[in-house]
Amino acid sequence: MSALAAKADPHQPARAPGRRLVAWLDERLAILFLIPGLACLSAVILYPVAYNAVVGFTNASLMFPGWRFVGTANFEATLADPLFWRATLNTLVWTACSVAGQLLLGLVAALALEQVTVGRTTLRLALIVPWAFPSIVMAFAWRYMLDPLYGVLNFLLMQVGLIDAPQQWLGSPDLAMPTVIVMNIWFGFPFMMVAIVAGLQTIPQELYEAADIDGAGAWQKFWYVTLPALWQVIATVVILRTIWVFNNFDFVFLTTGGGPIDATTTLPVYAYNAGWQQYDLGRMAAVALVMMVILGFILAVYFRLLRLQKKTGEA
Amino acid sequence: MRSRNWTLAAYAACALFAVFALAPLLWMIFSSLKPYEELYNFPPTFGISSLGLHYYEKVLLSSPFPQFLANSLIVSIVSTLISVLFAAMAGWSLARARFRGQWLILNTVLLAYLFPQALIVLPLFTAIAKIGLANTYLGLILAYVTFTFPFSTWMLTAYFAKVPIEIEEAGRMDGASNLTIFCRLVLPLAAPGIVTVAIFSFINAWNEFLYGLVILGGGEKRTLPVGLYNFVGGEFAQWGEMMAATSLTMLPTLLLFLFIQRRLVGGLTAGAVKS
Repeated sequence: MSALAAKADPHQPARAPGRRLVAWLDERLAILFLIPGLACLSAVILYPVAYNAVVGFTNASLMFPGWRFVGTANFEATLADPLFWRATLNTLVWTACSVAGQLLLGLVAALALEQVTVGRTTLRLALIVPWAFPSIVMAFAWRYMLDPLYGVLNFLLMQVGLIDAPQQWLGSPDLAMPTVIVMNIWFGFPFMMVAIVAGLQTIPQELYEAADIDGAGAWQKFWYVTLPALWQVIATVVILRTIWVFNNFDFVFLTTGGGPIDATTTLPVYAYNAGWQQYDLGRMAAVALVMMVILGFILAVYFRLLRLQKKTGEA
Repeated sequence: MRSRNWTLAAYAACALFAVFALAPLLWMIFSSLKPYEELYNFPPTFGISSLGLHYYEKVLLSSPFPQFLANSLIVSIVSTLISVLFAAMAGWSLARARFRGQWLILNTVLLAYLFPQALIVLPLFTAIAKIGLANTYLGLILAYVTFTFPFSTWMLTAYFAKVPIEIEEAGRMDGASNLTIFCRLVLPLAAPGIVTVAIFSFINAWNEFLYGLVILGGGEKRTLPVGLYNFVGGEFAQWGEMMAATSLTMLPTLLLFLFIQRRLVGGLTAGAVKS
């Protein structure tokens, strides 16, 4: 069955000598086909990791040619920088709130969409629109809506009576982080919704019928049938999203640039600034490595929780 | 009667979600059509009588937007073609052949897809600058190929795994070479998957900002996201131009996205098929 790697068929007529090379190559097509891909993979994995691991211990800079090893100086400087800790805290808040919000909205939207029969396709299309936004477009569309002087959001919220005076959504240190998180939730909930809708469709209808016979209410059905069945999907999308949001650079950078007064500086923005504002490549590499460690730690906790959940689920 | 209430609640929730989801898009398009004076009014105006295409005219005829658009098209299309070709080759190989290290490669593909940009951008930029490709289309195309390849491979491996192997075996019986089987039998059968993956990787390249910013700097070859970003405070200081330009930038992504959305989920979740 292992078709591609199969050896040449001995029953085939012997080929002309000139074509032997072609035949030889064709037999190994599966391996040959991997070469460009492996080159790409080394370009995005092996080389960057090796590069950062080396440069993180040097004083390489975009300003000056040449470099030398400086030991752990970059890591010490990073860990001693209060802004690094601020950025770490910001990143954790940004990631946790964004992912939780996206999941919650995505789940509610998916459940609501499942109940709807009239205009379901149209609604579905409407709800995934945010997902299609390029980050540059999202940043500017929202920045205009949120403008403190003539933004439509201030106007609407004042009409409804939620706020008394126009707010500086992106300009005040207190509001900026919650605002970019809401933007991120807006952008990310469609992905969660779509994945959960797909998950809902795999739940056998008999389970609900059985629950009906047992006299379960809507809430009980959700809690005892729907949610356990969705567990796998939810775990997967939460892990994927956590990684994406944690690593995300564009949203924050394009919306607030990390400001005001570093209120929204996340680790990717911090790393970028070290390299491209301060030209300190060694520092940037060190920060990138530290980010990997933090992300690895978060994922380890997730997988731990998943395993625990599985065990208690089976027990 | 309870379920009726639930249905009503569901419709209400969907309506709310739709407003939330669409408001920024609609307000952006609406604003791009307003005359200058109305863009800076508070309270904002909602009248439609004075709407017009003047900002689109300005953006398309007397701004660097068309140049950025051309740059984005070149970079996105070429990088998509290369990346999908590589991904199709690797995906077929991973879906069909059995060899040592296959499991490792599949997992590395997934890992690459989740790798932080902050970690990749610096080495990638240094490498591209070193071979003299900073500020060139080719430099950015190479960067995009490497970053769209893992995801494309991940999705295509799943598609190829679904192509019935009997067809390939029949081809082999007829004495077709592996290359012929791949080009004549496998690729056409996997065409829908390949189209989806191509569109997705086009969208990713079209939307990408950081690599473009770093590799192209401020030159003539800037892609749309970088061009629009740099022009804040310059030619696009005005919201009218900006809203028109972002609406135009959004258009291809939105259309393509709605076109493939159904197949996207399947691909995303089916990726784990082999591991």
